[in-house]
Amino acid sequence: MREKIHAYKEQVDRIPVPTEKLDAIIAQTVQQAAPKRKGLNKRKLVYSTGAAVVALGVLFSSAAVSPAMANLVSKVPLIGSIFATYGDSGLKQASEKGLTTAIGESQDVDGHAITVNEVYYDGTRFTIGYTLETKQAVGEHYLGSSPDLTVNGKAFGYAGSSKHTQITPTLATGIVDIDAINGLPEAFKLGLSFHGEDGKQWSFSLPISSRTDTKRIPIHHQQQAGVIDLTVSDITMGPAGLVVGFQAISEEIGYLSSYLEFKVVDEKGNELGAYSGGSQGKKSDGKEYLSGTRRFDPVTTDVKELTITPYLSLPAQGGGVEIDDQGGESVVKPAMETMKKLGKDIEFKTFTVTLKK
Amino acid sequence: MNQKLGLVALAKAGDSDAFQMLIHQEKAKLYKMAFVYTRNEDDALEIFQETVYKALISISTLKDDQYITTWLTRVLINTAIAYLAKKRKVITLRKDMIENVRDTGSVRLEERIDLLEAMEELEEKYVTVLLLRFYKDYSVKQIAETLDCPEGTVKTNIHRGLILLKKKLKGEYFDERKNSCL
Repeated sequence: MREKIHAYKEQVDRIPVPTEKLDAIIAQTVQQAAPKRKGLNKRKLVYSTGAAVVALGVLFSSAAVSPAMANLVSKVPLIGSIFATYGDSGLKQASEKGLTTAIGESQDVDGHAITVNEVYYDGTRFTIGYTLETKQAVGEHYLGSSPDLTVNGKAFGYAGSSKHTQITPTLATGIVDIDAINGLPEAFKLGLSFHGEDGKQWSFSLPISSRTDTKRIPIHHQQQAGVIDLTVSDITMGPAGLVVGFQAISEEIGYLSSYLEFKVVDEKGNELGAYSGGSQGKKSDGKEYLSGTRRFDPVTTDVKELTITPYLSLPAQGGGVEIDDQGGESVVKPAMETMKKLGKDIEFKTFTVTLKK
Repeated sequence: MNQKLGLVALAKAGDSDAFQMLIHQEKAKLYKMAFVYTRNEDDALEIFQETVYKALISISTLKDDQYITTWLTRVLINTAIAYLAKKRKVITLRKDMIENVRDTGSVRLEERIDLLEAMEELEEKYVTVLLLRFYKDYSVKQIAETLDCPEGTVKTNIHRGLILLKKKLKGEYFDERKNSCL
């Protein structure tokens, strides 16, 4: 009899589920009963922490997929499949474990449709995957570098990176990584606005909530190197990435510490893949105060120790983008000669972090 | 606060997207439970739709966010029982159809002893407690909370339900033996 009762659970589990019909019922029932959605707040991005606050590291990169890939893939990605197909190592791992959230919300503006395909959010990263289907070829820069975000109706300025993959001339996917997510609540309403270069706009409103299976390890490692006083405060590990959090104080004005990077190696000598990071800083009393994060591939559970080496990665040219409290953006022109001169004398010490189980 | 609790908070505040995401997380189990009561897709879909509607208009009354799954289960059970009360004649007809199919039995014994089928002929109060206990893996206490009844009643109903189920299954064994002698 006991075996039969176990079999009962299996039998119930085997009942076929008409998923499409259930989805249609959910959508129709909610549409008929729920109040109309409010319009999105379309304010410009604004930082809210004071007049002298700057945001650095808003350096968006884009990577086009190879023509060979474009020939191979001729189909719109399934909902919830973008991270597994086009994501970085961390996203692929999270997707394989079923930890990402499939969205599937779509908007069509004059025949150009954007579908928010998948979202991942935890203590290490906030990533949005979408597809763009157009009536005719529009080019990979049609949507610009990144969408505008609001969090619970308030504009949210962010640093991050985006990856564009052109599958066919009229079909592309995009993955937007939002870094420096410390200011985000655990659950919030995300406003997401894409802007086409022809003036079209797609606005989404999505509930987002954080996964809680991340682990934060306080470090409080401090060291002085040249003009930079560095504190590596913590690392946060999650299924889709590892994040190093740091603060830097510099007596020199020039955003030098915004070029801080870290090399992270496990005890087997494997260097973790590094991704984008964000940092925010302010000037006060002749000093620069910077706080930021850098993201890496996730570590496997058997890794017990990480060796971290901070270093400066000065750009060959160009600089960051500064956003003032009015939402105005301006390119930061680095005093390259001064920075290189200062940076030459800066060498950080390697340190080790034990990952307690 | 975990992901689900965040969605519940948003849904209670009137966020229909969050509500939809919650229902999407629960839809398969809700549907399967509805199917256990009705044994046909159309009725199960009707119960599911009614459940989604009731949940949508009353989620703001949910007192403890962490009990969202229990609450949805309760809404579904109440909806299913009310639905079956209206549809009882149809269920009786289905029973007859099942009996007829059995009588033709050339199927192997193991394949014929269908617990779902056996359970279908139990009273709904037994179906409900057995479903919660053995499909949802609820404890007696959780079942009592879900159904808002004393734990003693839950224990009694599980016990009686199992005895009835056992009899039912034995009956099938007996029928099989009888058939094999024919």
